[in-house]
Amino acid sequence: MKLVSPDSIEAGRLLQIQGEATAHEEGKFDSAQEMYSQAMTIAQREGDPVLEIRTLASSARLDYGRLNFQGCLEKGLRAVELARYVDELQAEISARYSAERVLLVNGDLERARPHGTAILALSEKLRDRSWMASALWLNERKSCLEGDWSAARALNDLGLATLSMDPRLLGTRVLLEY
Amino acid sequence: MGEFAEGNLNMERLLEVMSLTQPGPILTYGYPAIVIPIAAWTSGVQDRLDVAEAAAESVLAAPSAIPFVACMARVGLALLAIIRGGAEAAIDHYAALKLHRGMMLPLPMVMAADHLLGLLSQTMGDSDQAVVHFDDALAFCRKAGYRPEQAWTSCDYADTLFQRDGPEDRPKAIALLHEGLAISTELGMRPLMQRVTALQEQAASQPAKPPAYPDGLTQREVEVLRLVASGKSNPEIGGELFISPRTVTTHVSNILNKINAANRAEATGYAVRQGLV
Repeated sequence: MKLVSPDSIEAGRLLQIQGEATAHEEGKFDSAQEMYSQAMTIAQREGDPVLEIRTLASSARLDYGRLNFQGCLEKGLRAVELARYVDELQAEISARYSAERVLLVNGDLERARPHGTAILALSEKLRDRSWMASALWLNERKSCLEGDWSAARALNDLGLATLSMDPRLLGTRVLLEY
Repeated sequence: MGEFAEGNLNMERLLEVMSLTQPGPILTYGYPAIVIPIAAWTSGVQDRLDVAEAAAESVLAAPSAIPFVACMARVGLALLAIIRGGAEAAIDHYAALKLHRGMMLPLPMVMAADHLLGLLSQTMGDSDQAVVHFDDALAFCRKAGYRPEQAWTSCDYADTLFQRDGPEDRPKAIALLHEGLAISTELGMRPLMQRVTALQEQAASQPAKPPAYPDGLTQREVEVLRLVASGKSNPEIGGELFISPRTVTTHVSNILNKINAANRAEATGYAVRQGLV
């Protein structure tokens, strides 16, 4: 940060990355959210949609972790809207994942459904095993909430074939079988 | 689904993954903390509860726990308090979790928050509060279309109503069990089907408690009083209840004595005030 001009686009990009580390490695959630806030201000002032969608996705993820569901949903959906104009698949999948989780928690199955479909498609496009497992897990959760056990089992099988030691997939498989 | 062998196989794998990592505020510990108590609640088999407790405490002991992982651990401990009947622990967990009212618990999205709050309230000995939460949980699940959770909530709600045993509780509980059985049968939720059936059998074997009426009035005397309040004469009342006018006279006399009324007009006023008509 000392090498770049404060309030520059470069500073904004570094703040977004630093926020990720501060939140998920140091557990300093308030500091991380402040970094995202600064990054967002820079992104909007400079008209940088890539920085904006990345920051929105990161901030939405942190909001979910902090149980701020309203904030998570608002940011997630704004990022999904931005994804129509910016080719940022990682940010889009993260934003949709956050938004869908909140929608399911809120009992809004119909609004959650298209995000689940999109997340699966995006994870295959990205060829990212971690996102594939996450996408399969979240779709499995949706099927369980509806009582569609055969779909849930098939999704969980695929997920465990992708990441056999994923505690989410193992944990929810226990609940599914019980 | 009642596939306990398959469930246990995956439980062993989950615990193996947990054993490979250091205890801390991570999903690897959060999942066993919540999955073990839910499995115990579902199956009635209460093993590994100490493992769940240790996992939950290791999550909550970390100052940097992400709130949603800490929430998983808290829900796990809340379920343990319910299973063990720990009223004091239930009070603490209720206070910590009530902010989640009106939604699903965030992980692993199995249980409506109000369902858990209802169970906690029942464990705390507050059936009336439990009923409010169960009503909210059912409304949420019906609106969302979360039918498995709707069925489980119906069953636990019915159980609470049978225990409270208020004037309108029994018929409502029976209706809830019908709802729970219909969904669980359609979806093949065998443990829940067995649980609902057991509750239905238990309800059928226990005669309904007669409703408590004021001033020691019996069921029959209330029936007579209602007809008195509707302006009917003793012969008319006898005709309706298939008893002799003389028996009606005895009932009316007993009623006036019990409610300290001088005549039929005062008895009518009493019936209105007591909500008997």
